[in-house]
Amino acid sequence: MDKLRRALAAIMTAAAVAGALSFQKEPGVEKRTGGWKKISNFGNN
Amino acid sequence: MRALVIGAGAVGTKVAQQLLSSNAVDKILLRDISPEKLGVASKTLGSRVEVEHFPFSQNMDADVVVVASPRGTQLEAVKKAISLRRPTVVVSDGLSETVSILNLEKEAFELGVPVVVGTGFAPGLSCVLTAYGKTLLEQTEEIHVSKMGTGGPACALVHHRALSRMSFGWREDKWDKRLGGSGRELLWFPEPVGPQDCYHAALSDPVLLHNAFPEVSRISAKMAATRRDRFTAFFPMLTPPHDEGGIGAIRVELRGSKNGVQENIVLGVSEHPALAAASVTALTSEYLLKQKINLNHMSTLALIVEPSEFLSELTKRSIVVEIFEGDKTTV
Repeated sequence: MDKLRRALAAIMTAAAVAGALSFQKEPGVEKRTGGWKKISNFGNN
Repeated sequence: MRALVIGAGAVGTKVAQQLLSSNAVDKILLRDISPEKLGVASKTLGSRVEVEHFPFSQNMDADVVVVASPRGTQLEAVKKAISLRRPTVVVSDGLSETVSILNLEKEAFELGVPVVVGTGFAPGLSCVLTAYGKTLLEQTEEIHVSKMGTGGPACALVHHRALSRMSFGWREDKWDKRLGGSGRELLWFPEPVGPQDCYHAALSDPVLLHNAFPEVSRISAKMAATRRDRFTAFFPMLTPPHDEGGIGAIRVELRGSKNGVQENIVLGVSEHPALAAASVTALTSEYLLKQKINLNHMSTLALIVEPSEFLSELTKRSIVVEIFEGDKTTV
């Protein structure tokens, strides 16, 4: 019974991780970062 | 060369420090009506600074007068400096006082006195960033300035009041009045400030920018604020403001066209407002003393300095100017 419970917990954890990873890879879900760039040469921008 | 710095607050003290370190002046007179402020300033500054416990607008015996006193005292000091024909640099913060100072244009012109209005973080650096951004476009249609953070207590008080008063923006050939604290817009400032909710406020940037660029059809200015800032703006300040605020930021967005294509330029600076204001003011004063600015009337920074050169000099004083190049997707 205990082995069955552990196996079930492992399957559920694996499913949750797989789900989270597939959600991250879904098109349209992107991580965006700000695009600020320091200006070092004011003559060449 | 002697410089008179009026106001020994967060900005005035730093202006004195920077002028000393640049060796542009031999002696600095630092004047304030508060003995406590002068006591603190005299401990941090060397022997080349003479502190004066004097009313702001008396005996201005100096080659340049820097007006960095609190709101409500700047107009009298500028009037006196013009009447004594002293080259003057006004940090300028509050909207109504800035307008009153600009109204002294005729007196300054008639006496041939150079007066530079708006040499702080915003207005000041914001005006130079705008002038620089304009050089990157062929035609500029809109200028939108936003700011976050405050310098010393006097600056904090101006900001507190600005949210409860009418803001003025230039829109299609007329002044567009909006209630302070309205018009929420989420704007991204350079890191570490990042995104902030900004609102209309009684800021002087649009007045100075319209004065410099009358051909631009839309000019606005907004200020970052929290819900508490907007609510308490209608009441007197219940708690005394901090000695000096933390890091702040300005952001200037220009919309226009280049090569027939619509383009936006977004420039920003994240810095402690008092430090940035002091750097801009000290550099402007040095330009006046070294006669790098050929001026015999009242003007604003956007019109009298070459923006690339001025910003390069500020970069040497560790003011970092950034440009927004758009989102980078990292998946």
